Amino acid sequence: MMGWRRRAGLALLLALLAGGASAGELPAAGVPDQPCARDDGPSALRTGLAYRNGDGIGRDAAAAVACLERAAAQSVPQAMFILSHMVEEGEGSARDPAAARRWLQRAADLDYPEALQEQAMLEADPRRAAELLREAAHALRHRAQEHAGPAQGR
Amino acid sequence: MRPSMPSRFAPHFTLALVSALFAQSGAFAAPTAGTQATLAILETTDIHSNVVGYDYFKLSSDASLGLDRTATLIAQARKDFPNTLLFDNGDTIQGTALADYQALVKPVKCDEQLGIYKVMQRLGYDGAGVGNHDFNYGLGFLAQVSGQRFDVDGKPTDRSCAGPGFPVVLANVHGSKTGQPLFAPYAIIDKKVRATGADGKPVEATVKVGIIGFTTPTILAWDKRWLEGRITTEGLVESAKRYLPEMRAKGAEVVVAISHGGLDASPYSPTMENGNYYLAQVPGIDALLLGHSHVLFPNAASTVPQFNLPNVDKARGTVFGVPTVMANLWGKNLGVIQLALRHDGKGWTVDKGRTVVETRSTQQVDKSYVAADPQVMELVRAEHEATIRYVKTPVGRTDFRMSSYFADVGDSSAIQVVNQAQTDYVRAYVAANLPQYKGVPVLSMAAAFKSGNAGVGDYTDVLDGDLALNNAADLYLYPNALYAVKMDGAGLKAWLEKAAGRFNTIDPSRAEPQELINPAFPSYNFDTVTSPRLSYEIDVTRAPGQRIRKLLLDGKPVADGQAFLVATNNYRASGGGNFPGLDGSKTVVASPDASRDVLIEYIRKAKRLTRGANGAQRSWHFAKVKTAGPVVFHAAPGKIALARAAGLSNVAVLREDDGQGKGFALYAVDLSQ
Repeated sequence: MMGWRRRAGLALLLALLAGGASAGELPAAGVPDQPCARDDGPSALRTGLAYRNGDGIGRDAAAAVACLERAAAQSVPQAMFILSHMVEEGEGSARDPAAARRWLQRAADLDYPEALQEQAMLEADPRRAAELLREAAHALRHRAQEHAGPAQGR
Repeated sequence: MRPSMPSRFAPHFTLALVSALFAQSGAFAAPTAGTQATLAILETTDIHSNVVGYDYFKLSSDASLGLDRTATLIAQARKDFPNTLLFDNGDTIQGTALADYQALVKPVKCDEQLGIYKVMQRLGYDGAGVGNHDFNYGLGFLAQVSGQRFDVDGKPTDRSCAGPGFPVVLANVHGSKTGQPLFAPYAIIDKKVRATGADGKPVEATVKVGIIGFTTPTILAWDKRWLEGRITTEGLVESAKRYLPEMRAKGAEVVVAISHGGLDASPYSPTMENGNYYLAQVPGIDALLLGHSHVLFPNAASTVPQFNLPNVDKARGTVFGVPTVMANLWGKNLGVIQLALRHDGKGWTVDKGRTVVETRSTQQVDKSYVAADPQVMELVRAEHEATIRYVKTPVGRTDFRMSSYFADVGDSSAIQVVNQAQTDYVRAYVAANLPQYKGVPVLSMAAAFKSGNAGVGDYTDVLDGDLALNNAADLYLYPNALYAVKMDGAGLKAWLEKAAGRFNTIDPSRAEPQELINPAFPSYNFDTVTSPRLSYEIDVTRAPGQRIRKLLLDGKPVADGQAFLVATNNYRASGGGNFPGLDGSKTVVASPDASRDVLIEYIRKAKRLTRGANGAQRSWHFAKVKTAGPVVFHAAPGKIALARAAGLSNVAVLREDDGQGKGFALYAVDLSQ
């Protein structure tokens, strides 16, 4: 039986051949037989991180990428942020710095404070960097007001 | 012009002379069919209390933002268009030290007008909406400064305080107690316009312009502590369907929706954060003003997902055909919707085919900024200067200079106090809220955020003496919140290994100088511990990932499975820097408190920082090794005395000019000491 990764790769190749996605776009998510394919965003995020860390499940970076892409497709910025690092390092996928920047931008577009801060840290123009930090501060205030308390303990 | 409000809100709005004015202003003869006029709707949004372009933590002007420069754009627009109305779309009263000063430090009195409102009234704003951040200081403050009497808690205040001087409208937020809208949901403004009659001759006429406000329903989550049980929110679409027909029935000929939110094509929900994709589809809106998302619309080049949706024309500035604008943030831009109006003998209608939407920037083509309107500063000079005094107010003292010039080789003078503040916070938090972690050792990680990356002046350097709020910004650069993660010993070691990537691998046998610092690894990722309980060595002769040696807690080797709580910040805990195992899944404390504020509170309590207690502790040293040649690094010149004061006897200056033309000196560290 064909493994999920091979089938997912074949599906992506067929999609590319059919003109369904251009090489410059972010990878499609939610191929039905990928891990997490039917999970909601938060569940796919949790499973993706568990695959990445080997937390109660066999460590599998490629499965982590698949799950995080699933979460990202459902607008979970934390998944986009983690994906930006994995893609930057070639962890679980081919190394692709341009795709890493796009994932970071997508997380920043959703006002994810850590993504805005990282963009500021990578920004060469000090004025733009300062603006991004102010944006990060503003975005963090939403979270601060929302989560005025501890995260769930593990 | 005359704003009229729904009848039950009239007592709340203190323009008692409105009716009298109307009697005079209604003197125009009704326009004849074919009369035309242009009415430009001007929008500011998300000013965030940037009244003047100034950075209160750097204590320097900042021309890239501020309503004082938007004022110049407003003045120009009023020259360009015969008829204008100026509206603000909320997130107005919060966002700078000036705002905090007027809300928290020395709250404005009932009869005083908030600084930003003084300016907005002088600039002739015709109305405003309410943003989510306008609730940040609580309902009492919002009611006071906006001249309202909210009946949400006990009984409403006896009198209305000084308000902004123009109508504030908000249709989709209700008081839980009364079930009534908190603010007037809408207002109808009798706008006098200069028009052109059917015969081509200039005429004066009146256009009834209705304004209706909406804010993001997510305020209930974001400001839960102020709002829970006191207010309820309604979906944008539901509120619009209720009030738009009422506004038309009361004579509104043109309706402007002032909605603090962006666009989202996800399935509609009354609680969605950015419901305006659906609001635009409610019949009866002639112009839609957006905000909250801090971006520009229209913008043909925009890659922002919310503007790349079906039925959104990001070049022309329409959403389902409704002219729409979003004017970015901080007063950097002015939104303009130029409505072409035509009178049919009975009333005015908008010719959508001739509507033009644009945004105008304070930054000009040559990258310079338009001049600030000096009157703005004159209006708020007292508040501005009081804020500067507040930011410079000492919160404590230090008897040693806290700097980051030699942080890479072990100077903790600008790091230890951060770790101490973070550790204290987490210990107290665990004691009060997380009994399951009682007895788990609490450590803290901090890094030198500034290490010359942006030039020879780019270091943390706080002189001994008074410590003020702006010094805290130097000690803690980033806008982080304090987080804590639960790690095991293996995870802690992996964290320190990653941080030790700051260094190149040194070959002890090489006689040539070797650079210590890996420039591809930023200093802000060189996390270090400064706890008397933990010690470790960094062996820079070994490859990355194998450098942490002799990791001891209380003198005993740290076991892989040993549990720790590690205080850090939201960036690191959530995966920033891509540290192993740190991706949000280990977070056990996600504090609402800013890391910088935690530091300020620590200094406030400590009152006086001493080097012995707050600036000399090191948990790490380099593993000792004799090298054949010098191991060198670059830092600002003339600072060797600071290395000595920090007890770094193994550091020497080789050349005060490293010869690379950027003003740095060349130093050496003797790894055998």
